[in-house]
Amino acid sequence: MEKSLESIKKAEINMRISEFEVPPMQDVLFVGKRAPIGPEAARRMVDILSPNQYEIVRVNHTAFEALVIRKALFTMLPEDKLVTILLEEGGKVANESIIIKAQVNITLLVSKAIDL
Amino acid sequence: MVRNYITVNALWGIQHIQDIVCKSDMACFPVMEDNRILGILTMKDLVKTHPNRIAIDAMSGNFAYISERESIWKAKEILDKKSIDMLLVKQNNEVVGVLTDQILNYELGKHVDLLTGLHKPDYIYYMAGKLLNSGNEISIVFFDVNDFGYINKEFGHAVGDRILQEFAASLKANTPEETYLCRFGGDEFILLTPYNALDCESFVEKLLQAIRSHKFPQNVPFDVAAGIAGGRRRSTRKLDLFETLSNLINIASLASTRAKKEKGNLIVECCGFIDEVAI
Repeated sequence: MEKSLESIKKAEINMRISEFEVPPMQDVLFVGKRAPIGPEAARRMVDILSPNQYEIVRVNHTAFEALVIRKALFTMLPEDKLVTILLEEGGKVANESIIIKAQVNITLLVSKAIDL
Repeated sequence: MVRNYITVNALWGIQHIQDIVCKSDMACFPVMEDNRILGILTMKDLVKTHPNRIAIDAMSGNFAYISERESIWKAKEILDKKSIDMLLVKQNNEVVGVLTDQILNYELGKHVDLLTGLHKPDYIYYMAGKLLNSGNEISIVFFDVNDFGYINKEFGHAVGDRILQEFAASLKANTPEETYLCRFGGDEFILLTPYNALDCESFVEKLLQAIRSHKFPQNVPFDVAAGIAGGRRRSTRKLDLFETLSNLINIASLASTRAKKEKGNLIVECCGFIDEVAI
């Protein structure tokens, strides 16, 4: 039998193109105690891209060291209430060595009655 | 203190700092930004932190400032009381060096008598200044072993050393907590107390009795004489601490010499007045 000496080498290129998010994080960043990026590094990173929009909140939690939160959220909800909710939910997927980003949408429902 | 200390930039990566640490003897590093010290990076921080992090996100150490003119005992007090990892030594508002627990313990070791484990006399000077500045009375009790030369000659110097060790341990065990003991030199020991001289007499008598009832090696005949010196505070005029305390020690020393010859191995001397002392 005749042996085939041919071999083929191909390269396949896949591209996924999307718009760069500014800043590259959403509303909240959960920073694990042993995460590769610390809260100050995260804050400074977004501060360069979106100055004065984020704040570090140090927390006493088993897995998280701090939360980096978009300041605008505090105008809608008091800090302590927001942090409690975030930790409650974030804690369910907590891990000391990871960083989690979260999108937080707050909707205020207002209903008023006035005299006619 | 260490004058050639290493500082790390707040934005330096931990991995880079770990490389620097491997080439140095230091265990703590001040973290700097814009010529300001933000915190202290400790060896623990370097071990437990992810190598990708920056120094400012890893530092957990505390620091405090201390003047270059402060004593090493003051530095030790600050380090122990406040759980401080590093002291930054200042001279004219400029940091000129750093001190850590490790460096301090090494330095303090030079001020401890190797035979008895007691402090050397300079510690007494520091504590006397502290007591006087906080409004306490002070007095000095000077202990002098009787015929120690005879013990050395008759039983040998090794036995003599053991006698001194046991005597020091006995003194330590029988002195009140708020007093400070040191080996002055040879067979002489000093006790600094925050009481006036007359108030010391009764507890020193008990102390001498306790020591006399102690069984020393080879049943060596052991006795000790003590002289007490102290005075009343008089004014707020500032005096030299060294001179004031040296006078007290001298009076107590002479009293102990007289006590050997005259009566019951204990003599109390009141030297008159002790003025406020400036440190």
